Amino acid sequence: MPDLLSHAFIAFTICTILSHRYDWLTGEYVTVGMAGAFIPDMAKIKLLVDSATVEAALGVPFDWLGVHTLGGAFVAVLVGAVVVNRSDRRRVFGLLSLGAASHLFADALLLKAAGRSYEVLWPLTQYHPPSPGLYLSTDIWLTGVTGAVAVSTWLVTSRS
Amino acid sequence: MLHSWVGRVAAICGLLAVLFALMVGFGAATPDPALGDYPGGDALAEDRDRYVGDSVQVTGTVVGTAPVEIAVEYEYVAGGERHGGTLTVTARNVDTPVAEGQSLQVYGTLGPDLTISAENSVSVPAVNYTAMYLVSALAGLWTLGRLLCGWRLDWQTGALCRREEPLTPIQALLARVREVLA
Repeated sequence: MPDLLSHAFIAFTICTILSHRYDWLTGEYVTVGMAGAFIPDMAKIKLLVDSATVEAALGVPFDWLGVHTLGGAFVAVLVGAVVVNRSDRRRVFGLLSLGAASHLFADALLLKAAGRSYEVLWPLTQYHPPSPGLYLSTDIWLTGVTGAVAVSTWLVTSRS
Repeated sequence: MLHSWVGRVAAICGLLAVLFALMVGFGAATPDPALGDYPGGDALAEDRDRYVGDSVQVTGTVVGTAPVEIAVEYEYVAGGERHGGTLTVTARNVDTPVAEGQSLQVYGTLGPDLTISAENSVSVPAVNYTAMYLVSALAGLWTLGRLLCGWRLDWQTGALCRREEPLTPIQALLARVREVLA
């Protein structure tokens, strides 16, 4: 995905559609799903401090991209679940997971020269699943498409 | 246990330690072509001879077109020191038209002297990263704004709680404007 806005649009759309089925899924919970979509891109902290700098400073191997995987995102979701009250914990856990999973899934469809995506299921496996290569990481039209779908979903929901 | 500041802070510290351990483990992983994890720029910069004859995948900026040359940024740590810079990789048999300044990802077999015999390549137009970061920041502000309107921090327990009455600053502003205009 080219930018975080596309990921936010996707999570917004999924959660808004789910809110038709689950009465408890109000706007505040939709926000939680959107926040979940930000989790894998915490790895973008590498733009400020790259992994090799951390590795050299600490003397152990290190890669920020560990959070852009199933295992890393799962632990980050647990942090979010701990922050809320017990009554909200299960819902917040589910919605953060949904948002983070939508991000990891969308990124697994990116076009790569080798035709393989990334280690999305790590630490379960280092396997790079084949990627259908639906779009490039710079295709800005995707932001428009995901945005249009998000706005349409919102309009339909607010009318019903 | 998770009803107080102390419990929450302790749990979060524990989880962050696990997250850190995962990032260390991820950083320790080495390329494994059998799993589709091909060596990239960092691995080639660290030990290029090791991968001659293997399948590799590198991404860089096109700096020459006849033959196609790409500048691949790398970073790695050896002997406790960070090494970073740019490798110039020559790609042969590139079947997509490329222009200087574009980003090109090449998959193929590594030969000597950092030459890749390309089996496939993907070219990406030069990107305006500033615009992309601005758009991403917009997403952050949108979500943060929604979070502040719908959730609040309970200072007694350190928990994020849903607001009974979500804040509606935009509606409030519109109502105020209507009032003033009326």
